[in-house]
Amino acid sequence: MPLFIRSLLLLVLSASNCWAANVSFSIVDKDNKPLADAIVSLIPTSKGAINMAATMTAPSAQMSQSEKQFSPHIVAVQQGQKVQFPNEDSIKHQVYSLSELQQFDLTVEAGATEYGPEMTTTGAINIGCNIHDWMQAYVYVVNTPWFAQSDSNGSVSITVPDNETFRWQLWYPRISDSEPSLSGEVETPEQLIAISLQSALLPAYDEASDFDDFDDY
Amino acid sequence: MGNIKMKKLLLLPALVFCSAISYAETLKVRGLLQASYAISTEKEPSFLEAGTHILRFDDDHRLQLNQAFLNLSGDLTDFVSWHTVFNFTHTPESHAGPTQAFVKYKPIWSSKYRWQFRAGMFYPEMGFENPEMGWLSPFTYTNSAISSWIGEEVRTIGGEFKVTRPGRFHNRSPHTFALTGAVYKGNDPAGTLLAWRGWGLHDKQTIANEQVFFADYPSIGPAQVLEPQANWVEPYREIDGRWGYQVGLHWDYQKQSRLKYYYFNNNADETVLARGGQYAWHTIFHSLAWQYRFDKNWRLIMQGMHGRTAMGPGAVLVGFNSWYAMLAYRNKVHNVALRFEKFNTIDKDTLLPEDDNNGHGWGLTATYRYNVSKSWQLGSELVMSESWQASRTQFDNTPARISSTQLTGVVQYRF
Repeated sequence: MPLFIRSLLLLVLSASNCWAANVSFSIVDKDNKPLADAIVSLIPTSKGAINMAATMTAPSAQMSQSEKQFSPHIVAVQQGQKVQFPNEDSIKHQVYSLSELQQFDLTVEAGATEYGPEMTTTGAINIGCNIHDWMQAYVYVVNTPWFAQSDSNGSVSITVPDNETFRWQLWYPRISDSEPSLSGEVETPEQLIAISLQSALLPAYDEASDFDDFDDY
Repeated sequence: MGNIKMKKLLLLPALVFCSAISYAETLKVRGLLQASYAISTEKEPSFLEAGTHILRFDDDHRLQLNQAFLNLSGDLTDFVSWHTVFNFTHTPESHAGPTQAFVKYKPIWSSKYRWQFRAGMFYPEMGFENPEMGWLSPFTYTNSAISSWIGEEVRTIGGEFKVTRPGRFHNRSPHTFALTGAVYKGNDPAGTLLAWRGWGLHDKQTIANEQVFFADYPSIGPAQVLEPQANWVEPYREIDGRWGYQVGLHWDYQKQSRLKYYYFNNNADETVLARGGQYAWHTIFHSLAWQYRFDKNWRLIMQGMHGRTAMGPGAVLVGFNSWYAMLAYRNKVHNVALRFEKFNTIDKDTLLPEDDNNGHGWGLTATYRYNVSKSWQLGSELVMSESWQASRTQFDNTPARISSTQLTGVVQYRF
């Protein structure tokens, strides 16, 4: 372990209290650039954490449709929760999933909000709009109340019970299937886990970044 | 009892009102008006005024209405929508009617493939030049020769399927493919304009049941073999009762590079002559179009077309081809486009040497469009062109070659 991480850990540990610990992640891609919008979840593996998770529910997620795009285009939600789809455009959208994991189809009128179904399985679900084919998004369903999305610096921080063990899991649509560093074990108290992806990111072609007015022609 | 009846009566207008509101929500009304003032060096009248000039404007220098249309659309169900475009033109004669009217069915059937069906009257998606409402080009005002011809003589009046294989649903492949095919009626006279006038450069789309005029060439005049042919065409007439077809393949690479190939065959029986001097023209062509986006602002659009059209038992056989390359820049306010193109028609029949369909030419178009607001746009366009058309020499004092420069100022309002 590099010296600076070790000293950082010591610093974080000394500041921690007895019942909650922060597990932090810093994620960079193969080119050492921070990876934003990635989802990290902490799945409890020790008895205390499992029991505690059973009593907790994370808040539901929201994915709006704005200027003919999904925003944000990746959300995470806990299994059993619903995703809210508010339409901020002045036109109708038709939000659907034909994912094998879970299928649904919602007509969202201009200015209206619809709820997706209760998410029953875990994993990544492709979301599309049947009217505007270029609108693409992901709902990632996790079976833990402890998860978060990385910020623009590639940083994630999740507060979990102290003195417990977890399996961390990383998901991002552009991470290649062959990537080895997608999960690991972690034991609280405080931890900082640095993730460096070893394989190059898949192309960003269907992410929201590069939309052409005339894509539907 | 009477009281209940009264209540019911009072409820009735409320119900009608409510259903009117819900109907209004599904009806989308948009439209566009575009007017221009053109200065042209060309004295020969435009083909729209029965001359042999291939551009829309000649030197009669007046304010003109280029485009006027209403775009009405709505939903029948969550998966079925209807789309219509009603155009009005006063060139050459006042005429109003639909240029497009179709129903689109887009079911959600498969997690791996996307299906779409259209039925009615619509444009085949052959190029990348006309993605705007009402099949307009957001880049130039004057269409390329290829799009000008599609706008005047090629329209699908029938049914079409399209199945798309999005790469995203297939191991996140960067390649998305689509296969499309259509069968249609009408389109039998398609090719008439290419045979005599040759390729044109304009922005006029033929409205349903509209007649498109061209010069009254002596070779189709009295006492000639081709006398039955009128000096106008009704491009969407059904003449021989046979179905035409087209198939297309689309290949998208990361939305950056998009390629479309189409094969068109109107399957017309070239021996059939209909009332009003309209022959069925057997027209076959291949079209290949490519769009490459360098970034959000810059794109290159190219298209090539190669085909032939035949009329009468061996009377007229014309090969035709054209290509263009356009570089376009767009941001929220400024739109700049520069396009170069070449076009040819090749006389391949031997029966009627006095009816020479050979022609060739080029065009250079430079356009600037400025978005004043969401509704208003101002712009200017310079079109330089040269066309050589053998059929012009059938008239005394008309040279085969016409070189012209046309400068246009345009104002556009959309809602």
